[in-house]
Amino acid sequence: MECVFGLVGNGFAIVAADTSAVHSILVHKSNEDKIMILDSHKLIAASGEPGDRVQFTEYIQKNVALYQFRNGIPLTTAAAANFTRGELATALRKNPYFVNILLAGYDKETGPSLYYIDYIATLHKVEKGAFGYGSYFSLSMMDRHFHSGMSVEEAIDLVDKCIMEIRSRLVVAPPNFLIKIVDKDGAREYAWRESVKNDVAA
Amino acid sequence: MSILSIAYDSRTTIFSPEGRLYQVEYAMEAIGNAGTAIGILSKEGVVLVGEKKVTSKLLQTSTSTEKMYKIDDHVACAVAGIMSDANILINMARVQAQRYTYAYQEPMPVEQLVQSLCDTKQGYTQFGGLRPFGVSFLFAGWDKNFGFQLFMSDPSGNYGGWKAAAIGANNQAAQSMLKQDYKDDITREEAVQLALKVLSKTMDSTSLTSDKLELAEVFVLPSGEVKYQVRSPDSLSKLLVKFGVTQAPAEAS
Repeated sequence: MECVFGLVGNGFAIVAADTSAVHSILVHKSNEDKIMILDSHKLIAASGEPGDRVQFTEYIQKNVALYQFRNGIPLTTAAAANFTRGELATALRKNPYFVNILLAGYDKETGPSLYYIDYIATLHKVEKGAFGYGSYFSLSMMDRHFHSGMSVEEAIDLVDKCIMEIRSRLVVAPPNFLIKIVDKDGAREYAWRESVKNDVAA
Repeated sequence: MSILSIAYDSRTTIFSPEGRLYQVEYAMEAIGNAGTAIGILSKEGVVLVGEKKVTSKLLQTSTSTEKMYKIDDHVACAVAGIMSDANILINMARVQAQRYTYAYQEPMPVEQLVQSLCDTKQGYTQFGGLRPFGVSFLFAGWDKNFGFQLFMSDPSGNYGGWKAAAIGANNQAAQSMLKQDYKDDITREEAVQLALKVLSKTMDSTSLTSDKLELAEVFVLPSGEVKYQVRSPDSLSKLLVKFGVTQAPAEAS
């Protein structure tokens, strides 16, 4: 089952997602990147129906880019989150997108932020959040160990604790995870956590 | 105006052989007969001043304004031209501002608001067969990206950002006076004074009284909230006396 979680630290926000692409009982690949770089200082970690996930996140990404081209200024993380929620809400009672999103961003004026957006267009600004069966374990670990203003090292340690918990306690636990970070210097990949090595050719 | 022009001026959506859009130009003519409006940008706020054409004592002045309108909490505008056309556009601007806030939960950046309204105005010069709007606007607003801003737009759908601008009757005279006296570090009070001074010189009437004017300011309170304030007639009268523009220019000391 897909596992996505994230948290806000001191001057940064971090998100982690599993990297399994699954269809019924078959694992297509275990190095699927589910954390999209929305713009220079925003990340979208998404889980849910694979087709919807890619379609919807790319749609948001292109709209965010279009805004910046048209207006010469980027959207704030809050504005992007509200826009995303609005698109899910509009589609909800016609043709819903089955996608859950954690939107992490860094704004110069307001610092790092994390938004929880579920597939029925719930929006919450949070310090920590998670989706999927893994959330039962990662939220509990974060409730125990999280505090405001963690350093990157402390946050990564907590992320690793969550991954360990998911690996050991979830019956069909995904083997590999990807961690991305966003801070004043931008959004970028931080690390992989692999327990099953993937060849590039696979 | 040549004979040829008569053939081309009744359709809004075609060019004349000289490459002109006559309906757009005629719209601007209509605005040239309307009451002057002046806008001045200062580092502490934007000042809008307008000359009222309808000054009957019977008019209910407490509830309605003739020249100044609030579009959103952070944007206001001054109008010159056909009032009924202006009302349609002001309503459109208000809807666009709310639509933006509905989508993004943030106030709409001033230039984007002006641009979207101007895109609408442009549509009326290119298709549909409807005449252009006979209104020019001065938009005054504040946003977190560029602070205080002043924009002028006309019936063609063109717009520009200005430090000081004038629309309506005698706008060219007003504009050249503004060019002479405006300085970049002008304060809000100096801007009010300059606006009133320039308006008094370009107005047709012999004496300037508060019932012939509207004055509005867009500024930021210490709390950080953007405020749009229209001066009351009393406050305006006091200002006119203070700046010495109440009397007719000939009698000024």
